[in-house]
Amino acid sequence: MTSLLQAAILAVDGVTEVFPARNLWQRLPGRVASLVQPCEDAAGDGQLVEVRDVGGRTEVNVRIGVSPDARTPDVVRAVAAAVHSSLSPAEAAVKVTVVRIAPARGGAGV
Amino acid sequence: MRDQLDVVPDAILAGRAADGDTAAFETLARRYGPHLRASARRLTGSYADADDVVQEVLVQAWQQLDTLREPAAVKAWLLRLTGSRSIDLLRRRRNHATLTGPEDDQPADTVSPGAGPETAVVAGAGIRSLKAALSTLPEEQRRCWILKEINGQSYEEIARTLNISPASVRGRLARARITLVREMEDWR
Amino acid sequence: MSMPHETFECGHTLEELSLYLDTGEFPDPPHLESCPECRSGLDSLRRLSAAGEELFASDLAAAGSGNDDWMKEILAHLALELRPGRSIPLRADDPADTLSQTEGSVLALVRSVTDNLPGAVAGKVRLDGDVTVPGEPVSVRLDLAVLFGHPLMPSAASLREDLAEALARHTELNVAAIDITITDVIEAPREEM
Repeated sequence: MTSLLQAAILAVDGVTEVFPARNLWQRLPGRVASLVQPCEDAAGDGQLVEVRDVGGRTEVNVRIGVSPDARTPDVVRAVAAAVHSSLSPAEAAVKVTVVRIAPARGGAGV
Repeated sequence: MRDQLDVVPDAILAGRAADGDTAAFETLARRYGPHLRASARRLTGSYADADDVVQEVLVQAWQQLDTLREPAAVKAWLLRLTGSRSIDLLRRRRNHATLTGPEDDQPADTVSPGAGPETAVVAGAGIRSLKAALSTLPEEQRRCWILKEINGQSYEEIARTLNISPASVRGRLARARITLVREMEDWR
Repeated sequence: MSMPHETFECGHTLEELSLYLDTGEFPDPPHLESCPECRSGLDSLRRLSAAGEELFASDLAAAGSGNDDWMKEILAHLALELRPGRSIPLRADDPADTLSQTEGSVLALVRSVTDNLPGAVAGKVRLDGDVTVPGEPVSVRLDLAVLFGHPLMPSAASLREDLAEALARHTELNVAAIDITITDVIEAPREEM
């Protein structure tokens, strides 16, 4: 499920990368209904996109990087729309945070 | 921008790193990494431990850079962190060594694997006799001397690092120097 | 033979001389000029100090360069956490959504636009004003270092233009002012080749 979401998000023009939605230690145990399959990303840090069922409502949490050539507010709204349409017809509350506005990264160390 | 940051003074890089600029932080790490490594090697006497110390110091520095009051003093701050971390590591190892045996307790040069024959030939007579003399010093005096001469720390800073009084630092440093001078002149 | 005892016949000690070398403090400075024992003691300490500098230089050379693999490896292991700072809201099409950008991402944008101007290097960057409330006036404060002798001296006016454009493109901030202070002039090393 989340890998599909992740692909949909990365397909949005101007998105350079998807960051882990939360750092490992910030993730709360339990209450995570629709927890995603363990992910094999390089950081070993769990899934990138967080999808939770909170009181019957789906909450999606995404952190992205945006290309300097794009327009960040437009990209963010397009990402939210892409998530909505991937989950349709289910209702969802989407949280998108831009943590980086920079060309796609080549090396490690950030 | 890598090249450009290389010519940028410490204070600017430290300010940017405190703002969260990883590139600026990495430039500082590359700039002073060799000095931190040299200091940690001399203090811990181990190449592997020294690199662990450098890594711990950089992690701590990234977390605490925004508490650094004088960004221009970032180099001295990194060296102080290196001194403290190295001493902590030695204390942990000492505690461990009392359980497992005393063989860990050796002076720096005997356990430095990189100091191969080539280095020995290249090193001048002064360096060789100083290294030999250093290995005869009591541990606490040796630490004082290294923190002073390699890290450039003040008496007060050394006192805090070693958890002793500045007067003890002054005494130990003087005794270290007296012994070193004697040993080195014996070598001439 | 120059350093047989810790206390000389003149009554001064090597500890005093050692302290004098580090701090310049000595109870009777003119004495150091005239007392042969003290002078010889100082000479020995200075030779030791020179040997210490030599040892440090050799240790430093043995430690390698900061551009070598060992440092790359350490840096790769650090996985430096990005510093988010405040959360800056962005307008959402769906009222259920929460869209935002981190203050850290905007500061990084300002630095990168600045660094891209030849001869300019960003220092500290501040967003003054309540960036968490949409429409609140915000001032951008930028410390700027310029590379002296660079063929293209950066102009604050064109930088302000670039920054305004980037901020309009990537944020919804109500940017009331962009204040640029030149805080440093960096002597640029001469380009080789």
